[in-house]
Amino acid sequence: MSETILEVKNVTKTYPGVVALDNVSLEFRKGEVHALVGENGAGKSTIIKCIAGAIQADKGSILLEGQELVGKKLTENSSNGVEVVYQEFNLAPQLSVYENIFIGKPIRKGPGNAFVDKAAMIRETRELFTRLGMDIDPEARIDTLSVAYMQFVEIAKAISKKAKVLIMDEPTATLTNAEVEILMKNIRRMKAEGTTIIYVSHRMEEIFEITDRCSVLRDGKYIATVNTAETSREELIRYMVGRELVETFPSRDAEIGEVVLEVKGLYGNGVSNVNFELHKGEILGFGGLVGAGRTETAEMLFGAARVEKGDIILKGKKVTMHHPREAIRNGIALIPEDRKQHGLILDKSIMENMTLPVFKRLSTMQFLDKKKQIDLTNEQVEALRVKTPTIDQLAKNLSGGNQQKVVLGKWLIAESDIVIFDEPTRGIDVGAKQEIYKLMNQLVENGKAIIMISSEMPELLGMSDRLVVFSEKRQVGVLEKEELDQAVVLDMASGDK
Amino acid sequence: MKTLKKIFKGQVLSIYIALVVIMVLFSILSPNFMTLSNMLTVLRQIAGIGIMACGMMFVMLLGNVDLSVGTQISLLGIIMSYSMVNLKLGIFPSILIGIVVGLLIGLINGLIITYCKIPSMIATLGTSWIFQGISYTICKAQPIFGFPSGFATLGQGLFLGIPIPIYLFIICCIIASVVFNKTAYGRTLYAAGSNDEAAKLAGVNVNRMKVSSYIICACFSILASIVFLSRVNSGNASTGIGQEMNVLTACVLGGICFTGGDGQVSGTIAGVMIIGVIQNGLVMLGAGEYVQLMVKGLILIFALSIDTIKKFIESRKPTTAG
Repeated sequence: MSETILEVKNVTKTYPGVVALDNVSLEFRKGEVHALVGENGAGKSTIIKCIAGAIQADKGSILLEGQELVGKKLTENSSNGVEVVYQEFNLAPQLSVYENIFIGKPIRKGPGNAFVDKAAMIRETRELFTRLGMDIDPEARIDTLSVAYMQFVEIAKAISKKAKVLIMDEPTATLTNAEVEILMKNIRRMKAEGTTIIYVSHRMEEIFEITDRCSVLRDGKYIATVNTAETSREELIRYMVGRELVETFPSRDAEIGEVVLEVKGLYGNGVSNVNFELHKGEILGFGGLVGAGRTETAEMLFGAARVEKGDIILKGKKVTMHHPREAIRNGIALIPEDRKQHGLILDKSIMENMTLPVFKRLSTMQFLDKKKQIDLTNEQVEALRVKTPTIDQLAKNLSGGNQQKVVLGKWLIAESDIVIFDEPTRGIDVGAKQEIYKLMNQLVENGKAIIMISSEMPELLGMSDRLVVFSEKRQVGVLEKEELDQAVVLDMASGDK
Repeated sequence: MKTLKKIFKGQVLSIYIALVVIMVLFSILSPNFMTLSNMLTVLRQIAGIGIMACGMMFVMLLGNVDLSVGTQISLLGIIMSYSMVNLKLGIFPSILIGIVVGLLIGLINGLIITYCKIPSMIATLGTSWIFQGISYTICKAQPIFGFPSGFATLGQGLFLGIPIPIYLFIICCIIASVVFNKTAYGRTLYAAGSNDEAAKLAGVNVNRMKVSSYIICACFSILASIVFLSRVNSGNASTGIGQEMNVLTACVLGGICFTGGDGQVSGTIAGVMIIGVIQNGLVMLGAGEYVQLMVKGLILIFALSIDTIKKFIESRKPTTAG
């Protein structure tokens, strides 16, 4: 077990203005499952890409079985036995499953090996899935599969290459419990066969379940390697953030008042039969897996998707919204998951971003009142504690947490009283998360109501007053505060009854 | 039966239905439309753009487009005419020159798009002007005629009563279809067009695929250019103008995905036939060239909207109660 298979020696990689990796050294042993942890931006993805050969390190060397990998092309690294399951789906959606498994390296036949051997590829794909314990049709088109199945195809693709070192970057983000179990079983099997697995994940439970050792990166630097069995969740988090930080949720003192939003028998956007009430001063969680219907429901509430049937009742008045601007007028705000794409105009300043929805309110005869704009923005920047030298700073130069605050500030200026957060802390580091939670508390204390969509169980359980659970595009239940329990929620969300 | 279903799945089936409907419509409106001789005329007319469409598919499957195919035809035609008439080089040496220039054109297009990273639509619009300019310069805007005897046979001759260009078109379709469906190159083309990042990470040299797709596209242009040239039996710098839009419309109608990764030769054939039938049918009805332009423009816009329309219909589908 002590034989070193892959060694990363003093690797440095810089991008303009950022040191992504700073003299990092790591060592991986044959047949171990080695976790790579760290906050977002710690350099995990960069080191993976360096090992895979997708990018070239500026300095240092990467040795596979004593042989230099740095400087070699992608194709050579993978034939050397390093395979990666990337976080983003690297599948060709219009092609079939078997073609994706063999993408770039089809089984060939015929004169000059110019032709593809379709039958052989289908056969091998079928065998592969049988071995993995998954039931996926090799000839199905990728875009007809569920997200979880796509992830499995991605995993199968990497496994099929019989790699010596298999790197998995957040492989379970979209899998259901049953599927995670299948993955864990396969990881154990591969480990027994002597494959080294580098496992990147944010999910602590998985890291403690499956890994042998754990290496921590922080701000592009190597921090420590520990034996998983000898460490604790707290220790790992301490290494990750570099300071003592307990994962707790700030308490709040909000008074839950009257019903501000009532949803009755709502159908549409692929989701059926949603029923719930939202009260003033309440945080209502939306739980479930990716694609369970949470975001789809939120889109209907925000007028971004068509409602087919059912009622949305706002403060006792039935409303129909055909466009987000009607929702905004009704005081509903949506803070999207992908802030960089849907929440912010990255090349514009904080001020312009924050006041965009109220340009009309701030102008007379089409001329913007610059002073009002500045005052309003300053007020929010101060209230939300956005860390920035000036309000003219471009949104793209802010950190994830501060960007999130700008999006929030925008809707506060627009005087929304129902705020829908879609994955409010995704891509935000542990420290900034706390601040976002405090801000959410502050909002409900001031009499706003919040719907929070989240895939992070601790966050859902820690922040929600009540929880609506979705599974397979249906609402499967509403849990009251005292019923909130991880096992119950997971069981409901998994939907396998 | 299963293969038949596969061939006609999805959009391909609807495009063939549309073709039949249009043909029925024209045969009702014009008694001379549905005659054997007119059908042969239609086929002879579409052979050229059909061959070009096969080449265009290679480029479009990667999510690119080649708007210079029209003026490629003009330029190659003028160069071969010049070589035959002014330089008196004979048929085969002239065709050889055409092939060399054609490959060069493809290479240049491919290199510009891949390495200057210009969107293909704009880049090939630019090169199309260049090719057009060169054509006019060589022929001084005058038609070139007086080819060696025998050259016209290729474009005008018959074999078993069917015009030779039609055979060439069929052969091109078979070649393209085999390459797309059976060869490693063809399948990699679909993979890279569907998700180039995935292909790159799998070790595919996507840049080389791009360049080669433009060279292959130019190869089909060379053949099409010979067909056009021998059918008219004179070289004219305006031969190819506007043909790229016919080819593009045919491909898009036939279900070639504009963003790459999807589409079949069977669809393109139907698209090409619709363009040919409409052109011919409108002439039969006495509609002029200008009406044809308007109709074709509308068809192109419609063809590009098909996806949006489909998505809209899909979004209106009621959610099934769970």
